[in-house]
Amino acid sequence: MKRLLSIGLLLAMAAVPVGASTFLKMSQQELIRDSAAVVQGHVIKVSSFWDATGRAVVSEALVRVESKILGDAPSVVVVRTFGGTVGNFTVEAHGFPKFQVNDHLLLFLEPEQDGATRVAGYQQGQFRVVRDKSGAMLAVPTFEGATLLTRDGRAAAPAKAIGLDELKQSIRNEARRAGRVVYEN
Amino acid sequence: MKRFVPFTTAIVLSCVVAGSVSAYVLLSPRRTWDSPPTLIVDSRGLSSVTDGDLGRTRTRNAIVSTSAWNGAGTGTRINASVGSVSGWAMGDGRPMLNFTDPVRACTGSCLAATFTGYYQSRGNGTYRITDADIVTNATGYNWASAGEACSSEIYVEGVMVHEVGHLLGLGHSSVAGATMYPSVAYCDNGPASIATDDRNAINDLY
Repeated sequence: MKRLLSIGLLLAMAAVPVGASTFLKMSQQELIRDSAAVVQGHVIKVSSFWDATGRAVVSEALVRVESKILGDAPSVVVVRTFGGTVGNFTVEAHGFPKFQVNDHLLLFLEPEQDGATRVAGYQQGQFRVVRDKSGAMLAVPTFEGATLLTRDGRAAAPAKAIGLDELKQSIRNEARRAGRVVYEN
Repeated sequence: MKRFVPFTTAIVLSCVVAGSVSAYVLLSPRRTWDSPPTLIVDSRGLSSVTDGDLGRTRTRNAIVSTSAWNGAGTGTRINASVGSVSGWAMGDGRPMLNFTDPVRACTGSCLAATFTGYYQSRGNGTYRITDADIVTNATGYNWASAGEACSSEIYVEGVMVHEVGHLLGLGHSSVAGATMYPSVAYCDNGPASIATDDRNAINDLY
């Protein structure tokens, strides 16, 4: 279903202004620096719960890894984010990554202290993988409620959808320059 | 261009969701508080603010000022007091502005994060907000308060009045100069005072 959505529709969805948190714009180089791995895969399960401190609702997505682009990752990774619904209570974490079962994603993964991972750069490290009308695979940036601040005094330009292979090759090239292990699959 | 400082040091908060409609937006689903919430402003303040009070009182005063949401013309929308946020938690019905980040949600590239909680529908298509909380990346960035010398700091009052707009149920506006416009320059405290568009937004919602 996701794959059949047109890019135009996805971009329209991404343009809906919602609540915001504020983040610093990160370059691909910075995303790679902060990431232990970059993977492509499908979300197979999402669960939300109160964290161990009882202070925050978090969600964990199980992502079946179908392709590793950079670094090492198990066949299924646990990706944690803030917000979610527990019972009839919902916490909306504005600007944080969100997951739904069957989402096809490319993720920059940053290790957490307890073995789980989070998406590096918040939504900046999350791309939705979709097929356009011509059949080409595209990586569409996720931006729902994020406010981005550039480092150099300019407004952050909205990221654009690019070819999936182009993005993956760009990541590999950048990672090689940083001396990281990459996969050519 | 009230919001932007025309210097090379000016830094712009830019939202990637610039809309084409020149008006305010309410969070979806539409959600409101049943009565004006009382926001607890972290009594620890921000260490980088040098007003002698670590910015806590000025932040509180900006939030409840009649230049902000309480001056929209329909009465008090938000109360605030300086106090302890040691019990900060989502969903506890006690909205708090934490000048740190007890759950490590806002680190690295994150400057400030807002969490909005709401229960199920009232039955009329709207939702009741029962809690909302804000965390701050205090150590990763330099913060200042109004009146302080500023070169590359972020004014806490403007940012927090904007965040309180979200806490009350507002989304972003595409009207430049509005508090809920998703851009603000370093050293510009303009968002601490609401504009006509913000006034229309809050009066539509409540």
